[in-house]
Amino acid sequence: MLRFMTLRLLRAIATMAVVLVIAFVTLRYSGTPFERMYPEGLTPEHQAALEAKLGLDQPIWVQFQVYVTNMLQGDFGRSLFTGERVWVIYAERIGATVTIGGLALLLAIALGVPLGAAAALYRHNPLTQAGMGLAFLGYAVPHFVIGIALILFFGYYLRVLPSTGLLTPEHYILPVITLAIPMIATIARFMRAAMLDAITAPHVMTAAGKGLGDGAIARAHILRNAMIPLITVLGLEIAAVLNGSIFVEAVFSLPGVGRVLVGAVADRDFPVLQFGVLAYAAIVVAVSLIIDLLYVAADPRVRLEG
Amino acid sequence: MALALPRPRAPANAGLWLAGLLLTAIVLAGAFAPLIAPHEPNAINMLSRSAPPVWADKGTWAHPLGTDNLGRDLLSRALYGVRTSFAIATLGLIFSAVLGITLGLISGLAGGLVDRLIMGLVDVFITLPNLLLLLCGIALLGTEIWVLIVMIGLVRWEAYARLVRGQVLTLREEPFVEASRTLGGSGLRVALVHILPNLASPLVVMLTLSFPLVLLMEAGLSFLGVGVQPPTASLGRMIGDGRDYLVNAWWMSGVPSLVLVAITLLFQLIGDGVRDRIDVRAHG
Amino acid sequence: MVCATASMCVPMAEPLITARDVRVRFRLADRTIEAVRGVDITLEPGEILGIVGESGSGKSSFAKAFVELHGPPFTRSRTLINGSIRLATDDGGIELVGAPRATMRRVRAQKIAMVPQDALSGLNPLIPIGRQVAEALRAAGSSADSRSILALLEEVQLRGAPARIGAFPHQLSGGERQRVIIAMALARAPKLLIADEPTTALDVTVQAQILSLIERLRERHGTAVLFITHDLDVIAALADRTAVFYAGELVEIAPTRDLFLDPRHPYTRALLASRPGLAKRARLIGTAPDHDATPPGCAFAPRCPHADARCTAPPPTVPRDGGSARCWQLAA
Repeated sequence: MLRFMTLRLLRAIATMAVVLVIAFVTLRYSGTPFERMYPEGLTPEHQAALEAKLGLDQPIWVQFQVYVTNMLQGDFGRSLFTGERVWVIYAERIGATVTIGGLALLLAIALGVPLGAAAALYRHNPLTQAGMGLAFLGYAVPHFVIGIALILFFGYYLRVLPSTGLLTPEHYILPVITLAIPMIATIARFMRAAMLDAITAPHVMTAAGKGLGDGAIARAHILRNAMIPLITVLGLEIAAVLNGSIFVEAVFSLPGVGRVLVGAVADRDFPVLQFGVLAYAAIVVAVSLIIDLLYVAADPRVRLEG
Repeated sequence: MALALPRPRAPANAGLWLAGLLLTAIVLAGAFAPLIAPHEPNAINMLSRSAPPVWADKGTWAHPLGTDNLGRDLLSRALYGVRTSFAIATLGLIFSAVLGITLGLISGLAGGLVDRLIMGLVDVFITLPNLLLLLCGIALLGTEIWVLIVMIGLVRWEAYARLVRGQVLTLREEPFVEASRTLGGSGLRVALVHILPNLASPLVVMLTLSFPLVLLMEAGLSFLGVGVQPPTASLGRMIGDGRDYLVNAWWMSGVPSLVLVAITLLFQLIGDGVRDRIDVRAHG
Repeated sequence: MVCATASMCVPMAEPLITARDVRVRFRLADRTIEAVRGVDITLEPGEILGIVGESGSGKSSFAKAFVELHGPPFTRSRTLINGSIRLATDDGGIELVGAPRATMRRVRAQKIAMVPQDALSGLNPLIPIGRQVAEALRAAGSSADSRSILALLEEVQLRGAPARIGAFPHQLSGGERQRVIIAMALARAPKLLIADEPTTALDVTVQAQILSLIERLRERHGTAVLFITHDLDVIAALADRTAVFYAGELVEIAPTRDLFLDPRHPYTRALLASRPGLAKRARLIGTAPDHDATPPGCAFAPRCPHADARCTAPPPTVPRDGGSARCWQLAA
């Protein structure tokens, strides 16, 4: 157990180290910032002076050291365009992303888990079959197409919901649904498979043999056991929320961090991009670590080992 | 003496064939786009801007699927878009497969430190979000098509590496491989003669299953504006460009969206169908 | 009627179980196979009836028919059970074949307990064993307080029971898990215990302990036991009567001692002669027929050294001391 957690932690650290190197390389080998700051060109002397000032004349490992030190002190640099502190740019936008992502995740769990469970328990019911058919659709269609379809239908055809920006609570409805649909599909499909596995487990026959009712068997001996593998999927879905929000924010023109990230790529604003990459990777790594811990807490077979 | 009850047979596969046929038709249409497209895909015609598709009011057969805000024929652009997307996805997949197979072979055959290093890298790549890597690479290298191909290859290789390594480790124990080694076959020879041919079928399955994912990766990047650059037609880019004209010309996004959804759904159907059939066989 | 000890026999009473022409069929994708092909059997209260047979002989499918436990819940049943299995009760008896779901649930919860083959995975890995025993108590309508749970665990001699009520299944050995499953069976104070190869997953010493546990339970509570196994030595040690199954049919049934000393049916003879450890061990030649290809008449005929022309017709049931055998050779 302890050994497992240590290994797991080491892996998380290794991943972050690789990300750090990637981010550093991206930043350093993307050309000097001067081309952008002085589009008209620089004299060699001026450039050398600037390089000395910014430490760019130092050997690369020294630069890396400075880079990491700065970061540990909370200095992530400034945007090449606006000169704003990078973390401020993100801090201003994170609210929208977290709200929409969180709501979408809750919606997806609230709908996906029961749908998948019902589809496994009542496999021959036309209603659950239709539900899984829809889930199949949601699974194959990308966020941006779902978003556009929803805008066309609810925004322009029915004219009942706003489709751009985040002015009122109604503005959140379509983005949240768009982000949730593929997750609902994934969770439902996975839940169904996990339930089917759980139904055929020998202990379910024991439970049926005890004369328990279907409801009690489903709750205590099938659902419960299917929830454990679901934990892993929820972890993956949090990463999917981060991915999806990039598209959802683009479709609905929302002021979130996904737009910042895409803007930074298009403008080649490397300090901004770099922070996004690091933060995003840190979240994914942290989530997968937490998921492993949750898994351990939820499954006595793992928890009580060693 | 539990009697193993085989699962009910997979549903009639007429649907599977139909899906395959439709997909083939779309792919062929894309491949022969220069021959069948009614218009030059990038030909701007301000006189027929935002023309609706033929079934809508004021639609004409001159532009069966309508035109975009620059008067370009959407049917032609969609055909060329399919062509672009399939080309990028195919080349990206080939690149990722070659990279993954090579590293997987090395990892499995060499073992030891090399193996651990490569597998460590695989672990890291599994954790890293694909989209982020793609965005970094594009920011660094630009948005040329070869960059897209290489980056798609870079984010997908680990799956192949793991598959190949696993197979190598299993096959290494097989008597015929061991016999070959005892007879003095070199690692490389063993790999080429005995192991690679055995990998063919799992690889084909994996390539088929990952194709729609890669296609959507390209479409997504192009939609965000950091993938295929104008004026080259690509489905994702067309959807993104049409986003701002949804009010007046829904077909600008709608037409490429429908094509993209059709392709991914067909792939998904075929993938699920094939997997179920394999499962049925595996369960006797 | 033959009993192990005279005190347990209730003469002239109705049998606990009266099974008539029981047939169990499984619908597959493209055909239906018949796993049990018309079995008649009675079981007295407090009797241990052993059923032996090779894999696929239908012995387990037959026993599962008592409680309709051929497949998991929430799954469209592909099992068809025909015939009649009557369970005697104080208020007149219950027909088990085709019983309504609520009735079957009550039978499972209070009358007939099943100890499955797979002791290692027969318990839910996520629920402490005490709570799983409590479930059985509650289903049977008893109170599930910790004293009752502990009493059951102690009755099945789970070592260190008081401290282990909260233990999870994986913290128990295979034999201990089987004890917990038996404790859950006891929680229902059942009239009949069906033990479907309850010791196959366990090692030999543990096997012996479980068997003596089952025997003691019968003595203490008067529970009848249907004991299914392919292990003839276990049957010889445990069962009052023994039934031999072949290809879905009951070929011979007799008091265990008589059956072992004087087997009548050629298959029983071959089975006994093939026991490992015998000085002159005979080999049973050939394999049992497929469910699809059961020959008309006697199913054993193709492998039988004594088969003749009559064997293509269904064999007669010939009475023997305390039982019967189905064979043309005995009819002569």
